[in-house]
Order: sequence, then C-alpha cells, then structure tokens
Amino acid sequence: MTVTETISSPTPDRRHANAGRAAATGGSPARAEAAAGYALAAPAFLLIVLLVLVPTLGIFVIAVTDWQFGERSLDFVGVRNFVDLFGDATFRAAFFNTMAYVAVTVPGTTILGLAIALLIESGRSLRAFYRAAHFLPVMATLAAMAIAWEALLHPTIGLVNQVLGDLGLARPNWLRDTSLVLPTLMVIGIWQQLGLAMVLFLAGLKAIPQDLYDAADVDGADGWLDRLTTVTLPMLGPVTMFVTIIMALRAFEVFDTVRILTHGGPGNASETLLHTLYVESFEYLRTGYGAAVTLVFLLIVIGLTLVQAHVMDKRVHYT
Amino acid sequence: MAGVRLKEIAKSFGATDVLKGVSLDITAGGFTALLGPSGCGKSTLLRIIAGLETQDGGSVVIDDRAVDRLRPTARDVAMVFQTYALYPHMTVAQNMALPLKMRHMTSWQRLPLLGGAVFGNRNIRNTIDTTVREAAAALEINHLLDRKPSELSGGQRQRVALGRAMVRRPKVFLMDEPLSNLDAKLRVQMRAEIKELHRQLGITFIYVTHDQAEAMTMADQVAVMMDGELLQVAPPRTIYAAPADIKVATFIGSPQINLLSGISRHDGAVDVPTATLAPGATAPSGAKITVGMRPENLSLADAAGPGNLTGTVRTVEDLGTDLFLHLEIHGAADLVIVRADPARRDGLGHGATVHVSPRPDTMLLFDANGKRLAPATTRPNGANGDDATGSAGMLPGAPTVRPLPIANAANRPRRQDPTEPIAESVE
Repeated sequence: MTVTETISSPTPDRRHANAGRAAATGGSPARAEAAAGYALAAPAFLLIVLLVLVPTLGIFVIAVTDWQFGERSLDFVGVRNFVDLFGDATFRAAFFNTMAYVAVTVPGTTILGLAIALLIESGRSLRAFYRAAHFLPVMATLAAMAIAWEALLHPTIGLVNQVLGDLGLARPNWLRDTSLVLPTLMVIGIWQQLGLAMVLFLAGLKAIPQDLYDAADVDGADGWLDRLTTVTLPMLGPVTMFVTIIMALRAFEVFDTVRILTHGGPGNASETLLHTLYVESFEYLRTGYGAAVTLVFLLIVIGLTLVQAHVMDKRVHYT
Repeated sequence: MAGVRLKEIAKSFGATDVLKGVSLDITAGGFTALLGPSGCGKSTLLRIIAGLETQDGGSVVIDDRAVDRLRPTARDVAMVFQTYALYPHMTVAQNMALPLKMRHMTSWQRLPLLGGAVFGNRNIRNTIDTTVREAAAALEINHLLDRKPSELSGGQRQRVALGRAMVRRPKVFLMDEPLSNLDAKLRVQMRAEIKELHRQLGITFIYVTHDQAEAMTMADQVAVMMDGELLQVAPPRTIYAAPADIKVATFIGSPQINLLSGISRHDGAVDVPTATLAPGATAPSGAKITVGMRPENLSLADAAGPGNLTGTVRTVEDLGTDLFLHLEIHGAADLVIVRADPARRDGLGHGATVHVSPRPDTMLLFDANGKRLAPATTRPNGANGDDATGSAGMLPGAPTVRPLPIANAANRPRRQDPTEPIAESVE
C-alpha cells in the first residue's frame, strides 16, 4: 500500500503542472500523457490477453461443448460436461485424492520445513551442507527422481523393502496397494517440496531482528518454546503465509509422480485432478470434458489463493 | 536500590578487542551515561550488564551480588532498545504485560483460553492489567493500549518501550540509545521526560548514547568511552571543564574545542602560533604540548598583544544567539573557532584580521600523550545539567568578570605586529 502511495503521490502535482502548461499552450497534455501511458502498458497487456485471457476464455467456451480433439464439428451441450463430471467416479476420486494430498503435504512441508530451518539456524556447524542436502530434491527433475523412488520402493528388490525384510517387518507393495499408494505419493511430495519451504523459512528467520530476541530474553521469555511463540512464529507470519500458498499451489499441481509411478492406480486410488485432466484431454481426447475439469481446477486454485491472501493478510502483516 | 560494579570487563570479537578491562562503579539510584563514539564498545558493555552478551573476563556485580552466571531475567534488569524492540503482533497492553506474565504466571496459566478456564489465572491477570494501566497512565499512553506498534508514532513507541521496561520495577534500568530514532524536537522533550522518570522511579539508570547533549543534560555521572577503554568518569560539568584526556576534550563540546600545538617555556608560558599564552598550568620547559581553548572562552580583542592570537576570518556563522568566527591562524593546523556577540558582527566579514584573547584560567594543557597537565583552575559550580538548548557551548562560561579587551591591550606595553609570526612557533 505504501508503494502505491509513493508511486501515485507525484501524479497530482504533475497533473497540475501539465494543466498549467495546457492552459498556456492551448494543447491537451493530459490526453497525451494518457496515450503515452496506454502505449507503455500495451505490450504487457497484449501478452496477458494472448497468453492468459484468450486461452482461459477458450476453455470457458470449450467446456460447454462436446468438442473432441481433432474433430471438425462441435455441439453446444450447456452444463452437461459439469453434470457428468460430478457423477463420474474417477473425477470424484481425483477431487478427494487431490484434496487429501493438499491437506497432508501442505502442513507436512510447512511444519517440517520450518523445523529443519530452525535446526539449521540454531546449530553452527555444517550449515551449508544441511542447506544443500535438503534443497537438492527441489533442484532435481522430479521425473528422474520418481524413477529413483520407483527403484527404492520396488516390492521385492527395492531398498526400502529389503531393509524392512531384514528387520523382520512386513514388506508392503507401496505403489500397488490402494490404501498405501496415496500416502506414499504424499511422502514423496513432502520430500520434494521440503527444501523450498526450508529455504524460504531460513530467509525469514534471518530477517527477524536480534533486538526482539534480546527483548524476549530480558522480559523472561527465554526458554526455547517461549522464544518460539513470542518472537519466531509471529515474526515468520508473512513467510508462513507465502510458503503455505506456494506449497498449496504446488500440491494441487501434483502430476509427475502420479503419471510416472501409478497412472492414477490401482483403481482410482491415486488419481488426481491434473492427471484426470491430462488423461481426459490428451489420451481420450475428450477436450470439452477436459476443459470442464480445467475450470473446476482453476476455480479451486483461485478461490484458495484469494481466501488465504484475504484471511492471512490481515493476521500476519504487522507493519 | 541497587548499585552496579563492573570489574575489569574484557570482551573481544575475533581479533578485535572491544572492551579492554573496563572497571566502573555506578552508584545506586544514580543516572550514569556511557558516552562515546560509535564502535567504542559502550553498547557491548551495556549488553554484558544485561546478560545478553558474555564477557571474556571480569565480573558484573549488581546489588553486591555477582551476576555473571545469571540469565538476563534473573538479573532483574530492564532494557530499552534503540529500535524499541516492541513485539509487532501484540497490542501495546500485551507488550507491556509480557514481562509480568512471564514472571508471575506458569506456562499453563499463560495458555490463551485454557489458562483462564482450567488454571484459574483471573486474579493474576487482573493484577497485571492494573499494573499495566497504571504505567500507561503515568506515561500518558493509556489511550493507545489496544493499538499495535505499527499504528504508533516514534515517540509513542518509545513510551511503550519505557512502559514495558518499568512495569516490573527492575533493579536497574538499561537504555541503549533510546532517543536516536526520534526527531530533534521530540528528542529534547523525551530527555526531560526520561530524567523525570528517573526522579520518580528512583532506581539506577544506565544510559548508552553517542550524543553528548543527552549525556550532559540527563546524567549525573558521565563515563566517556573510546576504543574499548574508559577515559574519564565524572559529573558532566567536570567532563566539560576539566577533561582528563585530549580525546575527551575534543569529543565533548559543540563547536569542538580549539587545539593549538606549542612549546612550553621555562616561565610557564607557552608559545603557540602568533601568541605566547600564559595558561596557568605547569609543563616542563621545552616540552611539546597542546593548548585547548573552548570557543566561548575566547574573546575578541581590539588590538594585537603577546597573549592574543591573531587570525583571518574564513567563515562567519550567525546563529542569532551566537556568532561563530572560524579563524585561520598563521602556523596553526586547524581553524580556530571563536564565539562572539552577534552585536559585534560589523566589520567581521571574510578576510578580516582579528585579535583574540583567551581567558587564562580556562586554558587546558595536554602533554604529547594527550593527558591533561596539572589542572587549569576550574570552578565546578554544581552540576549544571539543565542546559537543554544545546545550541552553542554545552555549558555557560563560569561567571567571572572578564577583563575588557581594551584594558588588556592597555596593560601591555609593547605591541607586536599582528602579521609578524612569533619565531619559535613557526614551523
């Protein structure tokens, strides 16, 4: 808000100056200024229209038709795609799986990322190593990592089950068991996103003024839990909001691991929204139906972002 | 009331010695200012007293008890920080209540809802609330109790920080440059208020500042620190009029003290560029010494004389109440600043030649190491710490009758050519 004020405040003055000049010369500098403004905004506006608004509008149009990819004709079907959608067991599974995935991985990455950031920040040795070790999964291509996970989780020769077997424990089929497949994907998701949350929290921790910790020490809030609740967590509010939004958006986008490891199976046990969208649109070529899925996906993401920004903005920004 | 005794406090960060064995006695109930330029170690010393920093050597004694191994809370000190360090997510009331809550309530009782319902904290909460309200009323911030720090002005935040520190009635009140983030006008106002607060609370105040005006106007004892060492500990009046070290003399006083290097003669006089001064202090004959003269202790003379400096006006600063002349003295390294009566401004333009006579009893003599030689006569006329204007000299000159410049000139039989430098003092 401060930024807008700073930017907009000189404008009235300039306008006054221009008005004076206009009165003197008889021209219309205000109009010229407006034209210049539009001209400067035009390239960005054009790109947004071409790359965001037109495709989104296209989806709205396609979603109310029965168009199939490659077909030369299409019929208007109204809301039939949406009605089908909610009657479709695959979509419902994808919807609830995605929600569950988000509900587990977002708090999981946020809390673990914060915990690791706090641990790294509190220790003095090997900080750079721990930072790099936890950040590596973020840098790596998830598709390649998924294959590595597949090898690790192989029911007979995978490292995980070999270790479990050696310990005398059960050796589950992680990716083929309907009750285990989604939790397994969640663990991989948390593992992959953890580093990003950690790095953001580390940056947030660095920004907390030492004076506040000193004040807490003098005031008697000197135990680790008191310091955490009095200074660290409240001061990390803005970062936590940012991390939560980023993590939620990334969790909604879960696709790579599903596509490579499970194809949404067994049954629909690991079906997710983005995977359904892909399969309907590009495997079954039901583009109209896929567009309807896309719209639902889009609404969820926009709604979530708005709610988070609105609710949390009021509670975490102090200055 | 608790006194604070520092014994040989040493601290280094890496290879840098920040504190080199500082010993200081702070009287119970007194107001002591730690004054020094940035980086002199004064804030580190304060943090060591608070327990926020651990010293490498030496001991901190508060109220006759060594507190070196105690946590900050257990030392029973309160601290006001330069940045105020208010918790931004808490209201003013919550900020002020926190030290009391931490002290008087268990972790269970502090729980937001459960604490009241299960662990019966209502009485404690009421007491804390009353204490906070009383402190807020004393600081005139009771109408701000429900606001967050971001909704307050700098001065209001400052008061909240003071309130948070005073609610728990600590033994020692520590302040780390608390006024440096305020504008000049508010700073002067808060100076008076903090002094009044000290009078009301009657507890020991230790106040860190780089601003000499704050130290001189508020404290009853000033400890001047430089490069990790204490140079002088004395009342403000003594620090100004009888500095123990040339560094103290230059640090205190605005405009800065004039320093002229010279050679002492066998009769006690000192040859400086363009004049032979009789400072009334003893120095070994032929020694290289520095004479310090405060601008207000120099007065314009009508004519040249052996005891008068002669120079050319380079700059004239008319502040309304005072007129400062910056003189270039032939053979002197720095310009000499003279405070004159603005009424005498006529004829004192750039390039004018003027004669200046120093008051003998106010001249300060420093040896080659910067230590002051046998004290020049000083008349401490009580702590004069209320000169809050800080515009010219820190303190008014001693109330002695000055000899008129004309009489000075008349008393001296041989006049010297003002343009002719004294042979010995010319480099």
